[in-house]
Amino acid sequence: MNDFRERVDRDLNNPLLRSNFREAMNFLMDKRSSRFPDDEQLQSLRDLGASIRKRALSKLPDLLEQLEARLRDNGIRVHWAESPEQANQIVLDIARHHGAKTVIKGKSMVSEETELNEFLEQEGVTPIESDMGEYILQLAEDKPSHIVMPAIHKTRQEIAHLFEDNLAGCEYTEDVDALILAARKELRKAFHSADIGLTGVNFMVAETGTLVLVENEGNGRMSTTVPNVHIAMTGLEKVIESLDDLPPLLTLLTNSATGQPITTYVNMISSPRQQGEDGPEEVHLILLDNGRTIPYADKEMRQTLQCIRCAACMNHCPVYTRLGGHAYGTTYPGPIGSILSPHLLGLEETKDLPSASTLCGACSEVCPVRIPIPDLLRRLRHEGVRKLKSGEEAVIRGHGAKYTHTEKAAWLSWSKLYSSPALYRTFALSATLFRGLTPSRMKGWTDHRTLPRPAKKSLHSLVKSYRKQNGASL
Amino acid sequence: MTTGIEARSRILNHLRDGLGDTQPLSQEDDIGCVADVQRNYEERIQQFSHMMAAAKADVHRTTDRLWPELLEQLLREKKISNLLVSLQKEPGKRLAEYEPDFVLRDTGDNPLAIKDELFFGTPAALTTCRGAIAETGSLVIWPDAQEPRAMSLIPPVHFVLLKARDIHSTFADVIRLEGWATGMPTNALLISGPSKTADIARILAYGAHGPRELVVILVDDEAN
Amino acid sequence: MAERHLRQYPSRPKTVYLYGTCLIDLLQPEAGLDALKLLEREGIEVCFAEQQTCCGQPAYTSGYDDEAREVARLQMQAMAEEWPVVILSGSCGGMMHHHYPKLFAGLPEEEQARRFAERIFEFSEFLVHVLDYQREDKGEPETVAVHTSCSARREMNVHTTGWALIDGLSHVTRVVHSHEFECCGFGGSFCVRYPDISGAMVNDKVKAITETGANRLISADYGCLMNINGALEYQGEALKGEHLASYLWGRTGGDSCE
Ligand code: SF4
Repeated sequence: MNDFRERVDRDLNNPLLRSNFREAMNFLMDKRSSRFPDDEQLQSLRDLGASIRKRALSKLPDLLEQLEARLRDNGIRVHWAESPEQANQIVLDIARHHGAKTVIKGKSMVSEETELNEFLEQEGVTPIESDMGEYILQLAEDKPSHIVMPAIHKTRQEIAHLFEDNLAGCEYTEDVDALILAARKELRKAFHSADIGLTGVNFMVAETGTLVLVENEGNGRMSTTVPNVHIAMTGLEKVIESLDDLPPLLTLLTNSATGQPITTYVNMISSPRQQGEDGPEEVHLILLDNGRTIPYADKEMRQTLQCIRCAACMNHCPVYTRLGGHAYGTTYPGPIGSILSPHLLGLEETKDLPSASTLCGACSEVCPVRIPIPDLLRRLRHEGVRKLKSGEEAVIRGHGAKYTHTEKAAWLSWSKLYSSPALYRTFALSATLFRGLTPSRMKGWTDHRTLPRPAKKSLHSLVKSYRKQNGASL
Repeated sequence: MTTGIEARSRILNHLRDGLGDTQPLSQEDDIGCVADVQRNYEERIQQFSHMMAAAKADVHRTTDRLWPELLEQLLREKKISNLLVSLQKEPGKRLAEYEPDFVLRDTGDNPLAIKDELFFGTPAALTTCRGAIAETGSLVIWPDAQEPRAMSLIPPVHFVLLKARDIHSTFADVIRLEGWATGMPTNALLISGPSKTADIARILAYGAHGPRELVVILVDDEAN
Repeated sequence: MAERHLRQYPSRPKTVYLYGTCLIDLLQPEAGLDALKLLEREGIEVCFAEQQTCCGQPAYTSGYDDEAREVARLQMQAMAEEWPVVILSGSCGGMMHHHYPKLFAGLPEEEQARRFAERIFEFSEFLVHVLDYQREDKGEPETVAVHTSCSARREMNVHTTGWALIDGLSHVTRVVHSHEFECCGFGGSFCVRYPDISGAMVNDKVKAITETGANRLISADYGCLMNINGALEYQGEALKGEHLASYLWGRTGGDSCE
């Protein structure tokens, strides 16, 4: 994680990647905005979205217990995992119990977070990704670069080669329909024989004990319908209070994510199959903490957990657009990643992420649940450079990871200078702006820009002489 | 799993500690709203059909008397010679009486027993639905023993019979009017078009994992 | 939720503070003087508080709250009268209007910071919403591209007032550049911490602006201008961005202060 700068260098200088992402993000931004023609309605809907998520979080422990009780009544087994290791172990235990050899997977970012595939492989269970994007990445031994469109960095040609090399009988073709058909055939076989289906969850409804999955392809439905066992794996923050809370969030999610009024499938699961029905005989839900309880304890940072993973923030982020997702080096890239990853991994591991932003606010402007992402980035910067007062407890792992004496001293003298009119006046006579503060880094500035030249006279002195000439007061 | 129990109580304790002095919010604290769009009968049909068409689904408006004939014609056009349907449900019975020129295959009463058939030998299925949502162009389906989930998922073509009067304005209306909160089925679905993906270079392709075609037969008896 | 408040504007005041910002003070002071003269021409008494320095944003966005607070405190003291504060940058305006109340939350100055925040107006916002500024355009016909800083747009919601002022110039055609809403890559310390990401952003910005063929580039934020102008000059472009205050002053008959 710590070689963020190296990865930035690598990806920034890859022109194909750059233009790929620019085009893809333009596409997603246009799609989204075409779905929200009336700004007033959108703002009101975002208010509601934020309210629903805030309300759910305000009673999260109670709702989780209610959810668990409902699910249990409905016959769904609930597991709690504090760490990725625990979550993976639960999956493995279930697999072992059923003698399972393969696990077919719907899209699940949480399973990326826990690196479930690597773990299962080591343990002799074969995971098969079935989301087309994830499937492509699995063939390519690659990682998602976007949370909604995981293979967005792959070109059609790359995918065509990949299929040619990996799918029996598949010849090189750039025809997308043919490529999808080839993958469909391959994956149908896998669905037919898989022992376990594993998916993520978009929302969990406490009131009824319902798991809601949103998708276009149908692989989520396949994974939750065909195998005899379904395991859903998700972060514990995804609970909502009631079914009434669902429609507005669905609208916000699909429109913000891909500019769709709704996805092809909204799949609501409330129990294992009943007498005579199809579907899995067993349904399990794994609730993962993995550091989420840390921001929960802080009123400001708790807002991070409002996220519904629509990816609009990354689609609109000028930094993400230039870098793509891999440079971040974390499961969740882009703005949401930069505010979430420090909690999941600790600030030590992620200390560069909060500062890799201009705080331009494009993210929070589109966030459907109004997470004030720039404020949270700034807060994390603050926690990163701050020393704890005696007796104070850290609000985040790796607190103070970015603290250095030199930088602290620089800001202290900056502060002295700008909070003292007399000092400032002296400074203004001779100063150039950043030169005194971060001299070595001007190199970066002048790689792309000329240096600004200080004016002959400051505004302070211009005003003074102007007043002298014109005799004005004040 | 003892560790599971420990994890559970540790997580819940963390969360409870984390509540600090924050107060639980109630629905009255919510601000904002969903724009209220009420549509009359005909507008609902129009909106539904419009949204479905935009999602590449076919909608055919017909009457209760004529739909078997229409279905027969559609199957003929698509060169499909057999159809999976529940003969225990009304539409299956109607079709059996009608004696169409394609083969009717009954789902029977053990959906698990027809898994192989569904995967490898079923070109199309016909199901009913509970209703639909105009706003988003969505079918509301609660699969059951006679019309299992797989019917709307595995065969390449999915035909759905929808009664026009069952089209509601919004999903929120459906939840409220049908009292979903008082009891959810094993599986409830909203289906808003054929299966699709844009995972290859953002180019839309249909029939990713589910049906390549979704055909809605909209039965409208007030149209006469 | 905090973001959405429609601002109530006061009636035309007798006196205002003019806040130059640290960048204008040292790098583009003419813009400050032009703004001062323009406000005076509208019949407003202008106080340029001697003690003003910087809004504190550089330290604040870097996470150094204590250091930012010291500096912020001085600005509030320096402009203690209940007069509106007209700010020549949406970004510093956003700092004072939005972040001062948070910076002083739970401290004795909290109330003062909140009241101070209410008096903060970005330059174009003040001209349009408080002064209902209208002046005849005396300049030659030309096309103008506008860059609005992200904080002006998203924290102060004043991109529209900047446009309105340009659109009020009858001989000027305003052209929109591609991705106009997108950040120029300045971001305060960001541009020195991540010069290459910032460079990629400003290069795209410059390309978008020059592609419009506009004769001029106008912005009400000198931070962004410093960044964009630096890149324009580096690339040998003749175009040079100008502060909105100077542009308005020049086109409506004001003398140059040089
Ligand atoms: S932070 Fe907001 S915009 Fe980003 S993914 Fe989460 S909900 Fe979407």
